Amino acid sequence: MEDELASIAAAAGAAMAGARAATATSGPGLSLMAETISMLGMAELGVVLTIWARAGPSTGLATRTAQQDLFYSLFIGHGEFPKIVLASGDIEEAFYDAIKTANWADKYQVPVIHLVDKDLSNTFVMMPLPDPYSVRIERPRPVVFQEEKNANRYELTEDGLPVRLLPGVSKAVYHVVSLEHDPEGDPDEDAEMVKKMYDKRMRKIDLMLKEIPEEDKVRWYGPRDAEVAIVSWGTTKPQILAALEELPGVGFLQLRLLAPFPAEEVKRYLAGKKTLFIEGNYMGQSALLVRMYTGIEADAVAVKYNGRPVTADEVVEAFKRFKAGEKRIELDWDL
Amino acid sequence: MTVVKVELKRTPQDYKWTKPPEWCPGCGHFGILQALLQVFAELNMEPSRTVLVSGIGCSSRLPHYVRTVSAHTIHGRAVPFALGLKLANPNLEVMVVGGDGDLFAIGGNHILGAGRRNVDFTVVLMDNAVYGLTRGQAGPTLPLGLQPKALNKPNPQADLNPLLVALASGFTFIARSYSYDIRYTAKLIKEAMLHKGSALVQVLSPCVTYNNIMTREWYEKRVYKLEEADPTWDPVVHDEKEDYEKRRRAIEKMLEIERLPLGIFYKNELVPTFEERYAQMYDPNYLKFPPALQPIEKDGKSVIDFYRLMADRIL
Repeated sequence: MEDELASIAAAAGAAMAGARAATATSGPGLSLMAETISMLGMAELGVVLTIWARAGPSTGLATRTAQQDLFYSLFIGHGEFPKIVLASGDIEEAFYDAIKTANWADKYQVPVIHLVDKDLSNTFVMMPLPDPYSVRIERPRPVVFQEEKNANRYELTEDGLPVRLLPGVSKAVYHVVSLEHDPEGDPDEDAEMVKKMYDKRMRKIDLMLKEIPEEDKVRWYGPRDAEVAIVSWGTTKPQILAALEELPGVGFLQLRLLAPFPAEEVKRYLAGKKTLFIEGNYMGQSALLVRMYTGIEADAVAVKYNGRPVTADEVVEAFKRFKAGEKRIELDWDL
Repeated sequence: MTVVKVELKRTPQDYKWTKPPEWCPGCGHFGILQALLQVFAELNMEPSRTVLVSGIGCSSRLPHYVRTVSAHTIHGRAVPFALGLKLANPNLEVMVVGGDGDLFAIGGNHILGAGRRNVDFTVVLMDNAVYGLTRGQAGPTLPLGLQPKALNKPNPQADLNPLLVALASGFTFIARSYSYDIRYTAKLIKEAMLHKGSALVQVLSPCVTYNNIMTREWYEKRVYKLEEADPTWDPVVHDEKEDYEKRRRAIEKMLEIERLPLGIFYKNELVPTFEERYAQMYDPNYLKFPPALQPIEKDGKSVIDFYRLMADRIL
């Protein structure tokens, strides 16, 4: 397509037609996709966006890595609507997550952001042969009527999921729309209907948190009774796991599902522990996110924002400085 | 397009949706809506297989008044949304409706992209030269120096010519009509739908509320029909050798501004559609099993032979 505005719109159209729809971009392209992401939320169309995060702002370090776009991925799109953001920690995870995110886009009919970064997307590794057949492909079957009839795509369903209707397949006549609407899919600003539709869409958040398995929300490594938990997300995972070998007794909580946020699981794993957050941005975005959803205050945050990934040695260094009482640890190694 | 034979014969009434239009009384868009209902009935289109796609604007509300599947999307993105739909399932009849602002200002880049592909779909441009939904600001087809009532100064920007843009970008069917002439509009939209390839029909459609200059009287003094003025007018490219000459003549007619020609300016079915190119260049089964219709799993297991696909990367 000619630009990212077109790519995401075409993916939305393909999703409406019934295809598995996905597109990929990095920060600048994601900015252009913002308006349509919001439309996916309102119109209830499922598209996977794979985000190859790089070092910004603006053109920034266009071929270098960063984890600056966590907040951007979480909050992109005007208005409020359910969205899934899943961050893979390594290439093997990314492989299986690609299938899972497509399943979720089909099922929940929401925008799904598969958040990886330049470091992960651009790395060649030797990995065990994956088994794609081990992840079940799940997609709701479309409704097909005996005879052509008008249908309500936006029926006020209990679980919040829209009725799956496909043009040319369902024998259904229905309207898809970006405006607030009635069940038929036509604009409706009636106060009561607005609230009902809003509630219906937002019910999908509870459903996702209920249905998405824990291993896709968070993963714990190291002793469960560790006093200190390193908390991180995305492609710091292999380096942190390598560092844990030198840091006996330390645990690692990997955040995977970032929206909707699995507050219960995070609270359960972090209860009573000291926390050291490590990530590739200036603000310590995941530490702020955890505080927002759980009230848990980070004991220390190690950040890196020079366009280079966090190394295993830096994880060890961060831990030592944390033990020495530093609250904000700035990592700056070149590679 | 593919014409599917069905026993049921539908009437224009059968294509009316459950809710009536909410346009100003006398709006030119009523004529286009009426013409569409008529064409759909004449072609006996299946409402569940026909998809109207629009962006934002008065004209983009049209799909809510029609009994077909539709998507009322966001400002400027109707064309790429429609292309995604059509390419995911080329068995669908896909039509974009929208205004001059939606299709040629905010969405102009997508017209350029669409022409290069020649996907088999139809764009109906409901052109009133103003942004009626937001109270009459200047649209991209408002001529330089005009001052409709919402503008506090004359328009300092020149108008663009959608027909020339469509020709330059590769649309293979280009026509212009006038919305109060419902029968003629229906005739041209029908031709556009039957055309194999990307079709643009510009319908001059007076905005009775905000465009107090380009009114019914203004248009009716200027419009004339190409085939009435010149009975030998033949816009069809019958042979590739004719293409240059047909384009040159079309451009000449498109450039007329004192009087506004209506009719078909250019039609060329010798250019392969994107669907044909894709089937020929990438996947011979594309038209039979397009992405929206091909099975991807059996009992939850992918039907793709992953290990064959990745053979050159497996050690």
